[in-house]
Amino acid sequence: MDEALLYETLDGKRVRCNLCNFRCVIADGKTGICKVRINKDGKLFTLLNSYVSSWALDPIEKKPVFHFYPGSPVLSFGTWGCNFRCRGCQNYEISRINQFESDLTLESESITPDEAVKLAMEYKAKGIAWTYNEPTIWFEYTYKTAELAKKKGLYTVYVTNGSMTKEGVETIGQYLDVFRVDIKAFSQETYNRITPIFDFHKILETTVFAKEKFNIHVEVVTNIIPTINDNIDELRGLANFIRDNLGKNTPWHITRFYPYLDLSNLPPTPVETLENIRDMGLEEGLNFVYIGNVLGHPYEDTYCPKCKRRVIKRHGFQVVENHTHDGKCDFCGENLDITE
Amino acid sequence: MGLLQLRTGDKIILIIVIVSLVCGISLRILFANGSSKIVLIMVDGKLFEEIPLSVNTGHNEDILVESKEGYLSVEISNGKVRVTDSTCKDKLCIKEGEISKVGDTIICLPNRISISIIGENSNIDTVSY
Amino acid sequence: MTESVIFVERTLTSRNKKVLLVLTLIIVVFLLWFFYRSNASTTSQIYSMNTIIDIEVSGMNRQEIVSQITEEINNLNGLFDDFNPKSDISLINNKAGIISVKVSPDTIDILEKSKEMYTKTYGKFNVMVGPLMELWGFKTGDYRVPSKEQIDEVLKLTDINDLIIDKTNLTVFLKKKGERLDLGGIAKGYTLDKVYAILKENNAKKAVINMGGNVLVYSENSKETFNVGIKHPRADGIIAVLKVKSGTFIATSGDYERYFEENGKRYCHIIDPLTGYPADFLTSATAVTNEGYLGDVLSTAFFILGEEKSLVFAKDLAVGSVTVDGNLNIHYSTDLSGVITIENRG
Repeated sequence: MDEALLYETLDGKRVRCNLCNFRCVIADGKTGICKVRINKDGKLFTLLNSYVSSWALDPIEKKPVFHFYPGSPVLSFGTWGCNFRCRGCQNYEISRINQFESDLTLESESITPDEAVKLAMEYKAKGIAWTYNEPTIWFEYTYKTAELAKKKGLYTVYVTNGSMTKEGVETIGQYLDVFRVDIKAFSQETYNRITPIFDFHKILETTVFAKEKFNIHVEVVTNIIPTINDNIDELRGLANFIRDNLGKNTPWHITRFYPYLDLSNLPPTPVETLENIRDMGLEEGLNFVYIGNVLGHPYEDTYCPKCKRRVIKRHGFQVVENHTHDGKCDFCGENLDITE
Repeated sequence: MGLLQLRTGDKIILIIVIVSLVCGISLRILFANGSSKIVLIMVDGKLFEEIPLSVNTGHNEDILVESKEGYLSVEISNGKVRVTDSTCKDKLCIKEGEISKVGDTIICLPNRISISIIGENSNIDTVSY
Repeated sequence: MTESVIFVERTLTSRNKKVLLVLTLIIVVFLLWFFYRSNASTTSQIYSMNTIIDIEVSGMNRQEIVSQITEEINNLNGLFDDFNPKSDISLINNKAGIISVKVSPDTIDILEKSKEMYTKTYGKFNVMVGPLMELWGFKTGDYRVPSKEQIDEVLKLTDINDLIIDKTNLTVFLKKKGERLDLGGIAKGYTLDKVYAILKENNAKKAVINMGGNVLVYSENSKETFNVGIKHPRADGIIAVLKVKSGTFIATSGDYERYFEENGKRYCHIIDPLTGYPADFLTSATAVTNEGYLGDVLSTAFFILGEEKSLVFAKDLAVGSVTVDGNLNIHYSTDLSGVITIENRG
């Protein structure tokens, strides 16, 4: 058990964890709501250490991240647990854990930060991503690994629900290159229909902070679930937020929902719904709005906002054609803000 | 010959029985301090946590209560209890304000959480609301 | 005489005396334990009927009683809950203006009582208020203050005469499309009547049932009294205490249970079916009765009527009433004089 970062001690051997915006006050012997940070005798520890539940070499497009070293392979790691409980979670086998200690040791692979970086070099990955479940609760591990990864010239990617506090971003920001964040809705009520949280504005604040303070590359993902968060007027508010606070070149991924878990009775999102939202995004001034999880759809390609030519052709997570250089359009020279 | 002519062994057993009876009763009396109040937090009808409600100033407790439906934060300070934040829609539990008397209850129906103050000394059986 | 004494002396040897002593001790301990156990109570808290229900039962058969009560509550909830699309009420509502629906005898019973109470309360209690509740947003939590025109339109859908009950065929029909039943003001009290029957059938020793603020107290000893508090409508704690006997139902309606505020005015969920607006004379109204459904209905009616009219009503129906107005003035019916204690604040 490693001692946790980002917590403060309170009286009566209680601690307040300041890693995510729940800021749990944890009594001696208890855990936070994520279930993987535990108070032992007035000190907070993480139960996750180096326990990896799953890892794989993926193209960065799978995260999805489209405007950062397109086509590059990224070695991705996931652990156990989550601080959210989204209905219909695709990765519920690793995110919803109750009995942690025995699960973690029996079914995990222990891959230390050093080993993770070595593996990335071995597999010739261009970067490391923490994904599959929520990396925020794996903070200590991802922080150490990110520090080592940067030394080796690897890039680092957080595939996150955005629940990290500003203190968390302050700490890891210097070693983090990509913040690919889920913004699931643009109202407290809709957010709570997906997962109960106190204040979704904190997710927006954290994302803006990451970009402004550390110039971290941000991409926003919204998984559209029919009848739950598909209200186009509400999503218009989100489009405006991205344009005004993150920049009109920030990629927005509108992804198709597939039924899982307690949302198994819902249908997959109609493609027309996704197309309408994507078109609305462009109307509102965003330059790059993509549709995800619809294989072969033309909206998974990148079009130059100026000359309208297709500059990157993708097939699923594969980059098939790339007509950009130094982040600019090959045809007209327009700056697309693509990092490579 | 006396009625109670007991052997040593029997005397010992008798003493043990009497002593344990006396101890048991006095322990019950000792720990039933009349003025103690307890905050009872129930989730979905089951006990979540029991916290003694002391009137000491300066001693604060924040508790994050978790249910299948969502969360709420309870603050206990200076002998008063209130809900400071909740993921429910109506936030009626927050509007309820603070409670401090035996029999008072704050209920968050959507979250299925109830916070009540119970005590030994109350003569109120229940409250109609 | 001397012979028997000698005989007793011989049989009651010191050994036998010891055995007798131990046996007596054991019997005493057993009696104490038995007495303790028979007075022990079980408490259970369940969520049903869109509210929280606290059940406390004492006596040797308390587990069985709690089981039966829980089952009955869930059973009736299955019939009356309009958030459950399969309930009798939902089915009736969905077929409004279309076709009659076959329902269970309990549904027929509660609806007949509802119609009877509409007449008795001169329309202040009306189960046809469903569309009004929806208009103000009390069904979904999307609160809004509707316009007078909207209210007048919706009032057209609250005619109790459109509720057609066929007792013989056990069917119910709502004549117009858009009409909706809402049993929120009677279901809890009605259920408490069933709970009372279960307690009596099982010879319960003692019980206190609190169904979302509707209270039933019970004791096998008809002389035993219970202290039931009335919640203070604007502060923590209670505003009064009622000392009542077994078989008493105490129901309270308050403007603090479900409400929203707009422009500094509070709009609560108790809507006057005749005006279409939430009642605002009182902050709390309590009915003390010996029938559950009656108390539930009257607490709503009293709340809407206001203090003076409630007292007249209470007298006519021979029930107890307690009202608290916006200035926290308390009025109660004369029959409660020996029963009610107003709490001192200060």
